[in-house]
Amino acid sequence: MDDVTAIKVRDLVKVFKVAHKRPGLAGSLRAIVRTEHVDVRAVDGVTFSVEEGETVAFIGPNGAGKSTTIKMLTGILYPTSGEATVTGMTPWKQRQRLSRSIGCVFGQRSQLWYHLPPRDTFELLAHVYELPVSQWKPRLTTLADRFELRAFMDTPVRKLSLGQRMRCEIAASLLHAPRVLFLDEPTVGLDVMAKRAIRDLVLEMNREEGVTVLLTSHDVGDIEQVCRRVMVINHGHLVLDTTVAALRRDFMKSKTVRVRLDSPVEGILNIPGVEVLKRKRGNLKLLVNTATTSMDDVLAHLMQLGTIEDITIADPSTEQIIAEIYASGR
Amino acid sequence: MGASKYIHIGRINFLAKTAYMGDLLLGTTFYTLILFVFVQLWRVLGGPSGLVVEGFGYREMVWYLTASEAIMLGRARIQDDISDEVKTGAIAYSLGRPYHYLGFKFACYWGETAVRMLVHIAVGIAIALLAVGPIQVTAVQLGALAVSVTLALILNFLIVACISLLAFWVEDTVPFFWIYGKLLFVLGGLFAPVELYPEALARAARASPFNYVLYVPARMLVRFDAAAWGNTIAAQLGWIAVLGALAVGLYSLGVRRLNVNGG
Repeated sequence: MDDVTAIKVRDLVKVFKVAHKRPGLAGSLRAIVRTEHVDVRAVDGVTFSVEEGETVAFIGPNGAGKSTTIKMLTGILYPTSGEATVTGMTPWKQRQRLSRSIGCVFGQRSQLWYHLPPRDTFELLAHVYELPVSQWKPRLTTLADRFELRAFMDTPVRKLSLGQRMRCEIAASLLHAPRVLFLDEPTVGLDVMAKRAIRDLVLEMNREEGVTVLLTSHDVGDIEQVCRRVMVINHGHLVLDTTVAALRRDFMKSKTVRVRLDSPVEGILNIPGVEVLKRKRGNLKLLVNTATTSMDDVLAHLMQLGTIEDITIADPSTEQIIAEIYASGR
Repeated sequence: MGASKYIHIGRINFLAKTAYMGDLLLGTTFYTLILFVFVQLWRVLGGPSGLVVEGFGYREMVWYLTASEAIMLGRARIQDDISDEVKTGAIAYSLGRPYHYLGFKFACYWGETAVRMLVHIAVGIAIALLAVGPIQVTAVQLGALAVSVTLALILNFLIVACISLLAFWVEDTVPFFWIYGKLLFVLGGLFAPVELYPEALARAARASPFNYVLYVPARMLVRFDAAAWGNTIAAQLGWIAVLGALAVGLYSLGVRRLNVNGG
């Protein structure tokens, strides 16, 4: 392994055997006698490497293979074929040793003890990772300050908000000072403010401690605000590996604006670089080409039409980005 | 240092379970009810007439049932945890830690079992004392009994772990646990010592590991046999070795075919 390579993956393949049952009673009876299986290639020959200290987004639609890849890189799943090293270790062969140099957050699962305060989980993890008191106590103090956990360190986890819980989850994953942090949809279900807090914290840990971050998310905001590099996976294949700046420039040229005005919009709406997708009285759904038109201009036009009662601005979904990538012929 | 983490895991699960102390105390209602029914039953069968079957009279039967039911109901219910973790993929967090998954579960099991057993033993002793009065046991016998109960609970853990780990291969492990429960009823001697069984059934029970989960420690409470204690413990240890190897084997095979759903 090169000194600066945190993650190295070559031709990684994972095939799941999924039980297949034919419809109806006959299908059920047949399944009792003989279960049929279908091979699903969740990850199909993925190759990439990540340098130490990089912040990399791993994006793709549901079932694209991103979580499966992360689970292979953390040693949870055995690959069907291919090679991978994380901090110089083969995850599925040296899982326990590797666990000391990586941290994982799975947004849809929890590592906190639900009925106990976060402090108990932190103390338990310190023992699990066999950290000396002189190491983990100051570390916990630092994390508690940085993640602003002090106010609820002694409150049972079940009474915490989702955002507070997620801050605890990430802090828990960082307690043993891992060199690589795997974040699998860490902002799922969070509100805007909580998402921002999580993104800022991850970025801060990357900058201050040089932690390598590999993040999967459906939320383009996570990618733009946390990562400098993005890999796009679809149907198990890596379809794009580029910088976030290039992704933004080449494939994120539009934003969807939903706005409700206090009065119905009369006549033709003519804003350069804006396509009206839907209109009904004062409600408008607009597609804004951000390469040619600034959001300031759009808002200025809208305010001329009436008072804005409500507005949401959405980035393109990962599905739309992937459609753009395919449309560009890459 | 290696064992220290498991002790802490057990400790934290003990603390987590005490958060449900009210529920746990309420749960002993079932235990109380069963003991009450059997006290009434054996009062009719063994009380006034002084009926003694194979050395088990009214008092022995009540204390036997108090002990066997305390173990049955005092065991932690880890089966749902392991099966669910395998099925839902929640096992992911455990696999990514520097401990053995079965060791982690074993520690959790003891954390919960300690709480449940303490409550059930306290309730059981109170009921049995009220119903039939004390039974004669020495401190040495209680020590010997504690060893056997500990081994019985380890054995139960391993059987439950083996069944739960089948979740790597089958969709639903509930039917297997239903069967295990019934085997404990019959071959384990939950409601009556195997001395009361027909010979063939008693032989089958003695040859099974289930007998060493309930019958062996419960009988030790009411009819302690110092000469046979060593052999009994050796048999329990033997079953622990066999089922321990099986559990580790099943885990090693199963984890390779783990199919964690994407998230």
